[in-house]
Amino acid sequence: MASAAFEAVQSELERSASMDRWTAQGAIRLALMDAGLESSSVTSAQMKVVVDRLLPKQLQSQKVSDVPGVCEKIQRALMLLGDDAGAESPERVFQRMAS
Amino acid sequence: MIGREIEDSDRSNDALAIASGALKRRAGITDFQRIMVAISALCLLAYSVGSVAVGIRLLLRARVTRGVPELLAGLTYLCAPGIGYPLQVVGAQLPMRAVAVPMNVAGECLIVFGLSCFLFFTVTVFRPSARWAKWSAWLGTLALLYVGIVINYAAITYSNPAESQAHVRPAVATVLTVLALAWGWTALEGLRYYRMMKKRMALGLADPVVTNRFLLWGLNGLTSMGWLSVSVLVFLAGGNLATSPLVVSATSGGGFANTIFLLLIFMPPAAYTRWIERSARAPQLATV
Repeated sequence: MASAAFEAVQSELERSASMDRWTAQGAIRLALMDAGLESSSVTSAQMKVVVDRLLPKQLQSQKVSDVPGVCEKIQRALMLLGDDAGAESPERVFQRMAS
Repeated sequence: MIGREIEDSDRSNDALAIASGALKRRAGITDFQRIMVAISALCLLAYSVGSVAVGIRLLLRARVTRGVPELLAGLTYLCAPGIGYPLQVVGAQLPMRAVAVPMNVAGECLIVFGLSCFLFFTVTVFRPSARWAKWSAWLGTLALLYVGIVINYAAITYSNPAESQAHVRPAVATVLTVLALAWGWTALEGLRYYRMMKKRMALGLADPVVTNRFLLWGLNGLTSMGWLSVSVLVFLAGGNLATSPLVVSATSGGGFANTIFLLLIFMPPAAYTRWIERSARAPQLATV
């Protein structure tokens, strides 16, 4: 199951870049893989960095027009989402156990 | 006649020399074994004390955070290597069955419970939504329960160690398989997540200290695989795992290494944390 941040980016890509559901998911998953993140636990704060640093490369390879504009819209959508701090992940568990 | 006596005397002197050499050699082996037993005992003590400390600390954390992973890991380290394994090792050395059998039974029960908690820790942390992982943990738990029942039945029923060992061989093969799979799984998950965390670190999305914990967790799994492979080899050669000095040495030595990993993961000294943070900053400064 994908996180809220993942679904927000996917919806925005479908809307702004006219991508179909599977292409949008594939582009995000490839960017997340490059960042070492998982679709099920990625938070909006992490997704903002991915959209800023890694997603543009994936969108360019998909021949999306106006990549900076699309990324700007995605960032705005993520800001509206807020931070989903409740998501559990191995990183949080290992951080918590020794603190 | 005198010549024969001299010859006999020479022969007896030769025999004495050989016997004396053999005795010296035997004494040498005994000394070596004694040193190995002492080192193993110290390692076992460190492993148990370290595991108890980590287990208690994790259980205290679980009380505060209400986190299931902390609870499972705490129970694992307190029950299996902290109390269960030392009870079994000490129980196996005791001649009095009235004391040894209850110690063995209690130790085996704690080991089965602790290892089952460990399987569910891996599932809860690394594969919470994977059905195959949950099934694997349940299957592993069932296999461990079978092992516990067979080993405890043998400990209670047979007073002759050879008879008992013959009875428990299938159970020992089962526990070795479950342990190999469990530690292999731990190593894979730890190192896989470490690789992911390193990518996150490059983007400034991960803490270097937490990243290092995954490396240590993976190495913890690999070390356990190492000492387990010694047990597998001794088992295949027909040896008794409870009394084999090689197995006890490898397990205690490996356990000692595991203790260091566990302490660095769950109770890291401030100096180690600072060193990891400095090491992570160094490449960044080099690129500025």
